[in-house]
Amino acid sequence: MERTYLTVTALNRYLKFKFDNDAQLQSILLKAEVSNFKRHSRGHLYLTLKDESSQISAVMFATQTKSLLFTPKDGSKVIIQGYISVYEPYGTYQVYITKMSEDGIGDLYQAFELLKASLEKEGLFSESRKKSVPLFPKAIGVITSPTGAAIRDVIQVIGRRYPLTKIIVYPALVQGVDAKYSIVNQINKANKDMLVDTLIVGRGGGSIEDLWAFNEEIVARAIANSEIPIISAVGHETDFTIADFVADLRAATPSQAAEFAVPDQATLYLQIEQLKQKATLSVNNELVNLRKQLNKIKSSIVFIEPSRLFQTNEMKIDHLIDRLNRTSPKNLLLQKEEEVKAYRNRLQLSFKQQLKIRESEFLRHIEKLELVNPLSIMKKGFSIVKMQNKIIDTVLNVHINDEVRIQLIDGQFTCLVNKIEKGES
Amino acid sequence: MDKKITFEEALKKLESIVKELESGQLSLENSVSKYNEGIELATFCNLELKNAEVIVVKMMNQEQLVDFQVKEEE
Repeated sequence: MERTYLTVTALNRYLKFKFDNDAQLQSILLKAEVSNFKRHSRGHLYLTLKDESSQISAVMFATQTKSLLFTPKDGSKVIIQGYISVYEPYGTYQVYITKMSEDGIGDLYQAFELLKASLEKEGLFSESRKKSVPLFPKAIGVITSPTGAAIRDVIQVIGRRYPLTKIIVYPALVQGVDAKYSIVNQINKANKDMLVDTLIVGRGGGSIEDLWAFNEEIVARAIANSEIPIISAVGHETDFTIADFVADLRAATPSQAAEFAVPDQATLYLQIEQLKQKATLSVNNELVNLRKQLNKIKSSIVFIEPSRLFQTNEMKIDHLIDRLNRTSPKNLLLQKEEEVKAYRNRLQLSFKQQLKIRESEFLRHIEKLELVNPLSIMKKGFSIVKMQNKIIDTVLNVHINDEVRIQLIDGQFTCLVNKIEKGES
Repeated sequence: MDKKITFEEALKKLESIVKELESGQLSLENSVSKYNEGIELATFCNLELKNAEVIVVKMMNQEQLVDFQVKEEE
């Protein structure tokens, strides 16, 4: 029995088949240090990945290097996504790198948060700095990759909604280490050209590394300093970049940025139609109103009964006469006369009252006088004793044989004193 | 009508004319002439939209504006 010998080619093909069908090897994540770094003239990168005790060769093709955010060199600490396969001509196996970033991407997030905080503190995100985007832009500048999905979406949406405007593409790199300079240059260029009145800056979705240019400080500052209002349109709904915070308006995607940038012609047609209807309606209403007014005037009472016109004036004249009468001097005189009469009456009245009071006072005095009148006392039987026309009121003034005169109410007589007694009578 | 008027200006003017008409402060002659102007503006706006069927897209290439065609990503 003859033995079967494999060719080298067959062996390597078999090995390659084995590698390529191993799920583990087809998707690997690797942490390593770069050495033997070489950049081929056609853009492919050749390198060795190693740690303290082992190494493996690796390749990264030019189409994949676009997403690199850094320039790898010997000694770079990297993390890698890729797969393992066999290179048949040499019978070697190696890592085919699809993504490579500097180890310590956590530091990138930290840098993002730090930059965000410092720009926010500086006031770059404040609403008061934000310019309003024109409602009817004459031309829109789009700063993005000329070959990406973003520009295609923007042109499609704006073309459908508002073809009256124009689009000027400012081509820029939107990923890789040079993207930030490219974006900044185009923002500045658009501001120098002043050919557009709205700018859309952005790119389609991608990994955080792909979008990184929009987290760079120089990009943020260029957006903030732009005279032309900027709509940011980076990645998908969930991606937030520093550029979004600084931009005058943040759109979640490039398509949404296009919607924000222009009005929709379907709405505009409707708006124009409504304005036309409103104009017609209000002119019609006015005519109807004028006709009504005319009819009202024609049926007005003054046309039917013109004398009404004068009646009002007649009444007015009456009122005026009344007012005139009220203010004439004759009336004033009459009024004053009445006043004088009233005063006179009051004077007479008070005089009479005074008189009455005095009269009754007088009568009271008379009564009092009557009480002390000696004649009325003598009527009660008292008499007055006089001697030589002096009234005797004490026995000390009389002596025996004195001649005294006794006066009574109806006459007098003379007596001789023959006895004197002292003491109470 | 002035040929240089833009779509935006025409639309704004139309809006202000409608506002004036609705205020009812115009004389009859004025209303009618404003109304005619408004209808002309509306026609102009409609035509502007209809005539601009395909959007113009250019690219700034160095200092030159060149025609731009969307290319699919390789």
